[in-house]
Amino acid sequence: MLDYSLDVPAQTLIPPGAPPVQDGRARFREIFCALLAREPGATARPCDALLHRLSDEPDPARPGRPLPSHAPELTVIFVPGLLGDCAYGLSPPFEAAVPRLRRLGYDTRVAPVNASAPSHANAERLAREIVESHAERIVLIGHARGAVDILELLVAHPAAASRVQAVLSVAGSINGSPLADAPAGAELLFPPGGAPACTEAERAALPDLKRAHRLRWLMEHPLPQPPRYFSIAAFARRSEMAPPLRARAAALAQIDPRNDGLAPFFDQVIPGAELLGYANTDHWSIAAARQRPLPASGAAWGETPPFPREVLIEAALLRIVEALARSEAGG
Amino acid sequence: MSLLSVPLLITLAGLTVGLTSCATPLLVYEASDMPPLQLAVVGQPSVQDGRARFREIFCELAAREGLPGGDCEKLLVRLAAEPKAREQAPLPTHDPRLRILLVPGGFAECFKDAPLFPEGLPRLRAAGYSVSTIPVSGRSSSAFNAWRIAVAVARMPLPPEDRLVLLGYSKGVTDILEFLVQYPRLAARVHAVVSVAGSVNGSPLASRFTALYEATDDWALRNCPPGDRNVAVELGRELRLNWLARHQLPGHIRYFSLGTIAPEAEVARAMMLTDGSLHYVDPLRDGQLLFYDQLVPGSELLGYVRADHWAVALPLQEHWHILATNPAGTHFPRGLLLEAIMLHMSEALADST
Repeated sequence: MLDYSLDVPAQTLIPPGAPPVQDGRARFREIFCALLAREPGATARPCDALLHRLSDEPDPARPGRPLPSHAPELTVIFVPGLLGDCAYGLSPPFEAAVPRLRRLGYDTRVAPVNASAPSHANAERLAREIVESHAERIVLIGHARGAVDILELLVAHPAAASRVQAVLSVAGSINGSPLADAPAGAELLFPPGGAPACTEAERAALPDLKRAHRLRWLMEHPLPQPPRYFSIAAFARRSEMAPPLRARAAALAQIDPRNDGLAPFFDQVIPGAELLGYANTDHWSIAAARQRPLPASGAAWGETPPFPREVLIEAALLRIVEALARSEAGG
Repeated sequence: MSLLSVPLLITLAGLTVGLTSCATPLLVYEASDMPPLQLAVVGQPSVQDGRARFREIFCELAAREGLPGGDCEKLLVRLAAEPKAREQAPLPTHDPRLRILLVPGGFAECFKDAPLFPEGLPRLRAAGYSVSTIPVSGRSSSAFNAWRIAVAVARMPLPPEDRLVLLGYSKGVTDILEFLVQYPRLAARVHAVVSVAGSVNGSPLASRFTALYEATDDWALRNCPPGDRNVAVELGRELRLNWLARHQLPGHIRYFSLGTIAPEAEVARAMMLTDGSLHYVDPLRDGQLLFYDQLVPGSELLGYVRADHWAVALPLQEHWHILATNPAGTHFPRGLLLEAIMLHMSEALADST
């Protein structure tokens, strides 16, 4: 019933008592666009086409502010979602971001979470990794259900959580996905022809992503503060999505056409987070690169240039570093 | 009672079915599994949970009137994570210093023999309250109606010890919010705003049907003053959310929200097809609005009553014996509800100055 229009304000679906989301879009756009301008081939897609500008986005500060400096004493741990074990024609999530951040001096790695395990089990695994590491100042970056695993970690494992300075959700399944609710959605998530081992494993994780389950969890588990929370959401026109996501996006359009192929844009923001922006891309392309034709359909990916996900992650990290420095300075 | 809007409603509903009948709903859950939700514009305050105390007041009042406890439990939908009442507090006493102005919803002016809360008004007056209804334009925008509310508020005698409560139903709530930001000096007189089934975020239905409404309203509602004819546009989700993003509600006012949710069999027949359209978006709705579109930012959530969008406030079942009744044959005790709301207001505003 709703149109795909950008003439809407940023919005979130929240339970009572949820802390309000802060608007960090103007500053993030400034950082992202400045970084992107330094990239080779930066003109392939204008920066403004890569981040949606919704009706209420504030104008950037004038004059523009300089880019913040990196803080390589931070450890960055990526937490993949369901793509982690079963990447359909995709590179592993965050594959290119890891070496980029390492070159910038960060201790960076991808957490070995398990796509088929429930979030609380992944949270335990993450907590163990954090406690066993020597890292004292950690930034956790979660894609899709990886963001949920992180939130479960923070609530259930306070010792590990105390070392986490910041959390970034990237197209996070914060309120779950409507596709996880009913058989109709599950059929879209796991169409016939997928790798059986992967689809069975992923199906086992679906109950964790039911919208009612996640929203109830959020209401019953206020998130600890610190750490600081940041969110990047994603949505795109259906025609610009990876082919396997288009049927999912069409189904989700019943609820809202502004979705990324897994969830509407208002389901992807952590309560109390600083909203960094809405990436104009789909749920897969924000985290992983296309590698080969899709096994099930052999469908082409289309002509849309790849989304500069490494730049997006670096820009988010710069904003996080800036915000943490300001907090520590009492600003 | 004018029935002229019925052909329009049926036309709209028919179109709805035609446009949605191929799809399968994605969201399937029980009300008891889902917590209350608010679709909130970023930066707005979230709602606070006042369900436990309101249920206590509503059910205690119901018990005094001989309504079985089980019935009371059903009349307020128990969504997930509803807190338990801390301790059994006594029923508050009415505070007749509260002066109540009711603001009806869209098209109310077109149905003069179906006034807002007709069973509730005598009860409130018997309890000592001053209560009256503001005659807003049924087919006009909220900006248009804000003026009428401003006139009513300006004319209301308000001794220093009295407190002014604006209670809006459906689009009447957006009319009130518009008044509050357009007339801040008069808004200073208001102590509390109560939203009942408020179209705070509008409805996804509006986007689909505005053009059809505008093409047919002069015929279908020809006995009803046209006003500025913008009532349907005003209920668009995008327009309402953009409005909320651009305006900050006055901070000195206490806000309260009461939502409505009706199972499919308890939705008036005339709304069943529009309700069918909404059920592709979410299982929890009242025939015209989704449950998460009904909450005023920063308000105290009183609960969700089990009634469709009309039955919660309007005596349409008494006039439209087929179209406004539902297959399950349920009715909602509107008088009881309004009195429970005012008892809650009396308690909540007791300490306000």
